[in-house]
Amino acid sequence: MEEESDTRKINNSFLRDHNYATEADIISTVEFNSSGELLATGDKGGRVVVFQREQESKSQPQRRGEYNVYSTFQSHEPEFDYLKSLEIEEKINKIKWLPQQHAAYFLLSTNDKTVKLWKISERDKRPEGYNLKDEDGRIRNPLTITSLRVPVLQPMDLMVEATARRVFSNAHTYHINSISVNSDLQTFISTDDLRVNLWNLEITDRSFNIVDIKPANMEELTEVITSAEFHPQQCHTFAYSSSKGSIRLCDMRQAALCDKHCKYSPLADHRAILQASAEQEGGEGWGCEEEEVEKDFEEPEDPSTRSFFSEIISSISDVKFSHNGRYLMTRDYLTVKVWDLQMENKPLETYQVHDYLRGKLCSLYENDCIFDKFECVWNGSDSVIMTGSYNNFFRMFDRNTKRDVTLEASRENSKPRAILKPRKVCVGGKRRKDEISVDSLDFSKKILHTTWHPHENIIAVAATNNLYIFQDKVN
Amino acid sequence: MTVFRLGETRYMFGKGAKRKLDEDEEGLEGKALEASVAGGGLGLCPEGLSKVSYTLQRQTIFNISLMKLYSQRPLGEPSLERRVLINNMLRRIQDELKQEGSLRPLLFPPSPPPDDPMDEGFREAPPSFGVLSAAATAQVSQPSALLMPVIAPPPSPHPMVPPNCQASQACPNRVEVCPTPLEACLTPASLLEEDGGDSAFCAPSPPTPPLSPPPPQPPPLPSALLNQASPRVPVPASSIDGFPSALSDMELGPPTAITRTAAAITTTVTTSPAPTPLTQPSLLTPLSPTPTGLPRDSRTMGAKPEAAGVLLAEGRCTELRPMDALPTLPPGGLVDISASPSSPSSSSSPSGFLSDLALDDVLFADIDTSMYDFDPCTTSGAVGVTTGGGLAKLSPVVTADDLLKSLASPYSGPSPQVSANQPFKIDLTELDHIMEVLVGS
Repeated sequence: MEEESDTRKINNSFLRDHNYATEADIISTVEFNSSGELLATGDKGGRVVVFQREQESKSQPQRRGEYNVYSTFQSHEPEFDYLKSLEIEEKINKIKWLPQQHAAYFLLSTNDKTVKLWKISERDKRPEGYNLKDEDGRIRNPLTITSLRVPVLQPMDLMVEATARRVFSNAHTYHINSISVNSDLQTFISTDDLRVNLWNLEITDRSFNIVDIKPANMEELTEVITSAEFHPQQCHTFAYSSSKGSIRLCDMRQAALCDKHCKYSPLADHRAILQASAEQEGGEGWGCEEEEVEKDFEEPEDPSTRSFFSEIISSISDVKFSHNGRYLMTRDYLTVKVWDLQMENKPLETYQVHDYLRGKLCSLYENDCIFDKFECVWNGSDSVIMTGSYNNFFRMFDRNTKRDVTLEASRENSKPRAILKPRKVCVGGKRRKDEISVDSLDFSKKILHTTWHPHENIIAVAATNNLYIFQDKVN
Repeated sequence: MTVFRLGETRYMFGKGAKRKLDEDEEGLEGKALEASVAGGGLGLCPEGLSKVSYTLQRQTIFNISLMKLYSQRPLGEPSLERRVLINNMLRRIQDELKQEGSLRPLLFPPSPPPDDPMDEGFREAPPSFGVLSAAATAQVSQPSALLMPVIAPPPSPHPMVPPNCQASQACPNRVEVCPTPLEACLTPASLLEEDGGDSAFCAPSPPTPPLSPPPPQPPPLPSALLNQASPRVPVPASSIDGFPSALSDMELGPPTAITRTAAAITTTVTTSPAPTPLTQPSLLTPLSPTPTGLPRDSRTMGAKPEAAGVLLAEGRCTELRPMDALPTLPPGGLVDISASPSSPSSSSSPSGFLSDLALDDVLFADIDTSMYDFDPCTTSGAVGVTTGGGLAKLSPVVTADDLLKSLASPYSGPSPQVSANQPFKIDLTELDHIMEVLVGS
């Protein structure tokens, strides 16, 4: 986005001229932790802000746990790559929490080049009664000490401190776009445009390259990796998506390099192989022990909707496994698709996010909006999926009832406790009251990052530099 | 639905010089859209009148893509995915334009003839991830040298290349591939006025009906949808057969020479990182791998400087090949360099006009290339376009100098192309023959 601001001014597109007073405050990622107690946000200035949910108090039952700032720290600093004469942005691309094992919280945060493991711990006691120094910290004159005492821990104001415990650097030539913690809680993957690297959380000076799609000749590069994620239960399985709209499910037990380039077979044959292996599995999802063939998920293109921009809008911007591990959700520019992991020739469900933009693709290409990377997210029970759109709209799709809703995250429309009003974009000629026409959408207000509480219906939506947290209505 | 789409798109760009054309085509649009609805969507069936709007939109997108690639932030590293996608877009459009050009009996089958050693690596290029790569042959061919320079733009050690032009060295490749149709589309208004089937323009001008009957639409292959350009042109295999026969029909001088030239043409590198600026000084400069390319590549790609070196060497030697076909040009001493190992990138899609480009390097060496306002890619980008423009002008040079000057208007700046022809006036007759074949007169 930052690089396109100039282009937008030059093109005089229908984007309003925007002035980011605090560009460093633009939120670049949001993530709930596995219990939902903490919510982390990363911004363009390299900072991480962690919110914690208030404990629900019996005295005020209406006041459900609200999120307040818990910790703020500077995760990444801007760097300069002297070799290439390029700036390395400090923008936090992704934050992933580690499941909580002890009192402290751990999260991974990454910018374009470096992943860091942060430990967030509380301190609410401090030792008092040192012998050799005062409460102020001044060294006492040893000659004045007449008796010894044992320091005791006294309560103090809660202090939350964040320390960087590991720094995983120098493993990526290209820009890291995603990280994912393995279910074994010992390893994680970091993904850049052409490679996926596997790390051990304890070891920072070594990583294993498990996917490499860099061609021998960079001039032949036509496809990049856009996202990757570990399977939530299977510690040997991960998926990665590409800019050509395909998803590959990989099994790390197959080979050291989950690449399959040289062994790629036409789709028909591949399906035959998968059919055979699926039958072997016994058909019950992922409980099998046999080795599995890598699967390529790709939907053949619909010739009736083909245009110049077909490839660009098919580029997958986000891939997310469902919580139960049976489905995969992908987000491309105009749609969200849910895939059954057992069926790789077409998605199970396709949801149109903002199909009214299909006629505007040329302008969106001109002002670079077509390259916006929207994320998508499952709710805790995998029954509802959510993703963002323009004009600070975000959309939710109920997979069971097939109903969808468009909501807006804006200060004018959201007072505390107010119920969000569904919005509608009109595509035809006649615009009803309350509807917004496609041409009056604000394309500078985009909701790229959203997250859903793992158990409850609480969502966090990042709208540029504002964070909105919405909760289910309490009866 | 299609009506809505096209209308919307046009309004987005209906400004400035193109407004006149828009207004003229308002009536055409309606009929065109109805026609294209039957054809199954935007841009798939530019038959008849809708071809104008399709071509215009395609040209607009092409220009936008070029601008996007070359107006980059100096400090930050642009996103690789964005560059790759824009690059693919450019390739697709270029392939389409090429195939459009090849509707005429030209020598450029979409996949290169088998006797070319440059092809080996090309055919064996690793299939792209996740997509049926079988149909990707011609499409993959457009190597994106853009990626190489753009990833790491260090100051240029090469004396001949201006310091800030690293990233732009691929510009010529982007633009030069389809010079004549590009010209035709860049100045549609003037061409519409002048072109009535004037073969000298060698442009598949939108208003004139295609010279050859439009090929039947093959059933869209899933792979083709993602990789190939338009489905209007029959599959590559068949076209290979078509062209040699077309060739033999032609009553021209030494058919073998022309065929060889054609072979050379089809394999000329589209994207050797810096063919044009590097060959500008003199064709006879010893071809050593350009230092420009190597250090850059060693940084960006780790351990593949040799690939870049090979690329550059091939880029130069493919330019030399058409020279070899012309008897008066310096003989084989320089041809030895063409023994460089086949690199996948070299056997790029047959850009028929690349041989002309190579000629242009020599002929228009002194051209002022400051016509684009890009920064930092000013010079090379302009070079590419100028030489591309010069290609169309090469033929008019032979047939009509007036046309040359009129075509030169918005895009060639103050450069006097005509003067650069002097060293090769002797060969004009041969060039004339070849150009007639190339442009399909």
